[in-house]
Amino acid sequence: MRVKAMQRGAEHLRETLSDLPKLQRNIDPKLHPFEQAREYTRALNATKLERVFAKPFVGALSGHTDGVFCMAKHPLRISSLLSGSCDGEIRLWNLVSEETIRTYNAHQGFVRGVCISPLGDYFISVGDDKHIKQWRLDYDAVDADLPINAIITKNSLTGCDHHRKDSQFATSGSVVELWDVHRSDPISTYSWGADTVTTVRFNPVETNILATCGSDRNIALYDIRGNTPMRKVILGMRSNAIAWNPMEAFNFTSVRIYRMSEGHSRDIYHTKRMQRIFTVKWSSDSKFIFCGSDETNIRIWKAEAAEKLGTLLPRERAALEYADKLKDSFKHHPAVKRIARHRHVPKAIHSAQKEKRIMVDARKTKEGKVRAHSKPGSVPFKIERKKHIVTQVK
Amino acid sequence: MSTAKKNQGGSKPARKPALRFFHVDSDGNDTRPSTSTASAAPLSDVDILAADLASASNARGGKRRHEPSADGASSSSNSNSNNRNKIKEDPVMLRAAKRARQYHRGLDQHAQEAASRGRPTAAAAADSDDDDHEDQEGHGDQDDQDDEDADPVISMATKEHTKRQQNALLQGVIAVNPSSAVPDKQSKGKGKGPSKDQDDGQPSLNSTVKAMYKNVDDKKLKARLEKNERQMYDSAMKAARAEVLLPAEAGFLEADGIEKTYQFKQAQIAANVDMSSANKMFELDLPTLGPYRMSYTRNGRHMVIAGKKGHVATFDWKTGKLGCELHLMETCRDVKWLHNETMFAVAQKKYVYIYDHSGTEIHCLRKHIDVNRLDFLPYHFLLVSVGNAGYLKYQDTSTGQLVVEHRTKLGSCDVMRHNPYNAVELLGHTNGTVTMWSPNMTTPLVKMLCHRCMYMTTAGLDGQMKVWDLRTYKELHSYYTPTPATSLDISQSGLLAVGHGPHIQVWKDALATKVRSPYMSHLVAGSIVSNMQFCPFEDVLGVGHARGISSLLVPGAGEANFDALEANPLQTKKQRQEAEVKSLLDKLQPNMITLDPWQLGTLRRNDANTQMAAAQAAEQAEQEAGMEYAPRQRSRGRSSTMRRYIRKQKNVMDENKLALKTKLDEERKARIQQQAGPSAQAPSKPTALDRFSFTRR
Repeated sequence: MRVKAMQRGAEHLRETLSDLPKLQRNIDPKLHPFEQAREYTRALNATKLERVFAKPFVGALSGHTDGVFCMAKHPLRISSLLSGSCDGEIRLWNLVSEETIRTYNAHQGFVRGVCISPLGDYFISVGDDKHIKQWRLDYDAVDADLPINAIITKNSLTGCDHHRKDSQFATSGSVVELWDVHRSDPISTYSWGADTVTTVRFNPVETNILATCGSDRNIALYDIRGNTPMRKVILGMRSNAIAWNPMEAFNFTSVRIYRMSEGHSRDIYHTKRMQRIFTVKWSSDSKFIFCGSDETNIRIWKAEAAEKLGTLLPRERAALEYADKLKDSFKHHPAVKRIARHRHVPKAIHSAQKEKRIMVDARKTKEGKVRAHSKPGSVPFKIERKKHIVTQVK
Repeated sequence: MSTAKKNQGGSKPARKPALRFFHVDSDGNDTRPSTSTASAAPLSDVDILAADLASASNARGGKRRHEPSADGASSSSNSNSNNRNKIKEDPVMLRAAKRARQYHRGLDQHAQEAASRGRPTAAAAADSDDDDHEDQEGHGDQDDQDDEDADPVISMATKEHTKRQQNALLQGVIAVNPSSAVPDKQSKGKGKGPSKDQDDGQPSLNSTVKAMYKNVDDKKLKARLEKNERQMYDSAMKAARAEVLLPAEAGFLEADGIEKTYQFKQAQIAANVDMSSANKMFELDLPTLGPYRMSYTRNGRHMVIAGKKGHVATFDWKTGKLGCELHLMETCRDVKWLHNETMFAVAQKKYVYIYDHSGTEIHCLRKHIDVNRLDFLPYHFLLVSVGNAGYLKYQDTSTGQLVVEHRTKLGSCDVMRHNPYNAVELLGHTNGTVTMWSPNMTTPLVKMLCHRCMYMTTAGLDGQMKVWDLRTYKELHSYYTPTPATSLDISQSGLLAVGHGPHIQVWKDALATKVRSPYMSHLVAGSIVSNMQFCPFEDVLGVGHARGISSLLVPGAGEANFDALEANPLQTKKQRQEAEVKSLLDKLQPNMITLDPWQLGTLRRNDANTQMAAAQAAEQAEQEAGMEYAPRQRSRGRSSTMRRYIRKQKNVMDENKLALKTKLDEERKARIQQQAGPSAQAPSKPTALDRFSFTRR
């Protein structure tokens, strides 16, 4: 007779009492029944918990006495932020302590744009008073309250952006002008049509490409190495702002966050007291979002509403990663989807959404009917993203 | 079946038959069974087993029948020691093969390649070294059986069986195998993956995956699907490789020379195993308050026993530490642990009571009246009871709600088990039917029983124990028990324990194949076995009998490598508390109990095309069945009581009418045949004279 009974030896036991008890795993599926049902339950719970913990508001920077119109983040210091308000004041903020470091009385009327140089040693501001001012961005200097340089232009200005590498910056207004910080005249001037340009942005990768938004619903591209504009796209609606990547967007009195590849917003942030938002910025570590609004506050939001701030223990991190994966794999399940997509929005937005939905549906219905009664192929289907482009001009 | 009978001295004339117990094995297939086959005699026990993967996949479906190749034979004869050693030689490959077979539920070709690569070792072993006629014979038997079972023949057989058992008594037990759980979904034949042998062509993983989704138009979706596919394959292979790291090995019992394993006595085994294992054998001699029923916790650490006359005790059976002991002074019909060792439920004379670990009564469930059997679904936190009134009741033990109560309409019931694969409850009734229930439907799901179950074993008062293929509802093979079996249980490794009278037999590989002799046997002298349960994660079989409790050593019964996050035999108090919270968080809702536990992840296909296809299929089926819709002529105002009565009598089928009907049918057939003439019957062979005939060639 040869016989052996199963026995469990020392390999299952901890060596000393101070050790953690050993956790033997066996991933054999027959020991894990209802695998899918249980993972679904976990995914559902994780999604619910995400909504429970979705408390994105971190803090508010108060100090401005008028609406905050523009912001710029420091390229080198994560904890610094510049903001310009509608009364012409510019403030430099310490985000950690949520305090103002310095205040500049920059312009008469609105501060229309602020941008910081790539090395963070100075910043440029433009305002309604047709001034372009250059300021020293020095945290300790005594006389930093006064501009290093000031240029008066002929036209009113609507925005500015600094080149990513060179000491050049661009301003928008009735025309787009390219400046060098060492010169008091623009290096070059671009215009295409007679309309006002509302925004100007340098491409962070192809650093010599500029994009602008115009009031005739266009988005135009310029190459600053040449003297002519490259391309113009006319859209169905006028664009207020442009950002190369990541995408930024804002809407009435709430912040919407979009994913690059998806057509719907991922999240919406709002508070009761927040009024019109003029400016939104991501923090450099992409964990926070700042928004400056009409009622003088700059608000700090978490980029992921339910994210836990601070250090995570390894087990905690593993659990969260597992939950994320589950949420992702079950995201199309109706029950999970419903919870994950549910957002409470202000009443005004909610009713506007409903109204818009009715209009869109009606349009779709009509289009469907037209298609049904036309020659096949004469009313083609149009991709949603391309619907908004009216023409392209070269 | 005949072999088995002879073998075990079964030349006795068959006694009056009745189903005594019932065993069901799960596997994936789609046939719709009818209740008729199961119905016959009262049930005394039901058990569901998922055969271990190797045998399940080999024995799967009709494939095996048509190709009783070395493959099938080899894995089925795993009990053979040579064979086992051969397999042991390459454990990684074998596990990889098993794992790969599960991979993506049969969609992947490579998985099968891996599987087939792993298998030949075993197959060769079986073919070359195997002088063992038993296996071959058993297999042959089965083939015969299968061929014979081809179609109508077998249904006849079933009918016969049913008829024979019609007036027998029922009394039953159900057991469901915990290991059974993983079905091999390859058999489902989803149309995508290759389902035939692919040992020859070996396309790369890449091309296989590409081919799988070549019809997907959306490029992004296609890329994602392909990526998923690769990841799944990788993880399956990695998991298989990681299995070598598992520390423990399963036990075994092997015979040398002319010895037979079933001849070994417990005392002999105890003398030959290590001391810690020998200590797991014990006897509790409790002659006055029996017969006893018992239950192990999910991790196998604790045991609760209940004597019919009200003696209830819980203890840590390995250390012998008593938890609590109660004398309830009234009948106790069943006892069951809840999710862990802190609570247990007892079915007492009138109500069901829940006690905590110290023996304090914490709940009296007054809605559960006159209960015979209790069951607990650990992942759903549902306590299930069935009793003399035939009501099946589900009580949520986490919220305290009575989730649902179903009227079975089949009378008193004392046979209940759940299928661990899908948490469906099986009831065995006094009319011989087995019904399957979920909380979501007020009617049994029996018709879907075969969906997951491949083997069903029945044992009747005629001393027969039969194995049925539930996909076809045909008998596969049969065993013989000298006296009717009263209890059944299946271990994690797929051993089947049968208790009849004072005898206990343990069978190995008895379901997928026909085995000649039991693996082990034991006699509880002077007593009658009332209840048996294999201890999870141990090589131990707990037996409750009329004179107390016995704990027997059955090498190779338990799963050697546990998963500490599911059920941990070495659990500390802190771990138990954490596990309780986790399992409550992961609690499955009662309405998630379905026959197919993978249903959640499937697409709902109710688009227009599918609907149309379904409608067409239904129409076609109707045409084939010769049923055409004819609107009923209703005349108004003619429904007097008398007329209604007469009309109703038309539908009553009694013996006379049936006889008349068959007679008329036969006459009609004969007439048709006669009209057609002899030539219509079969074309005769061509003859030399045919060349002169211009009429028929």
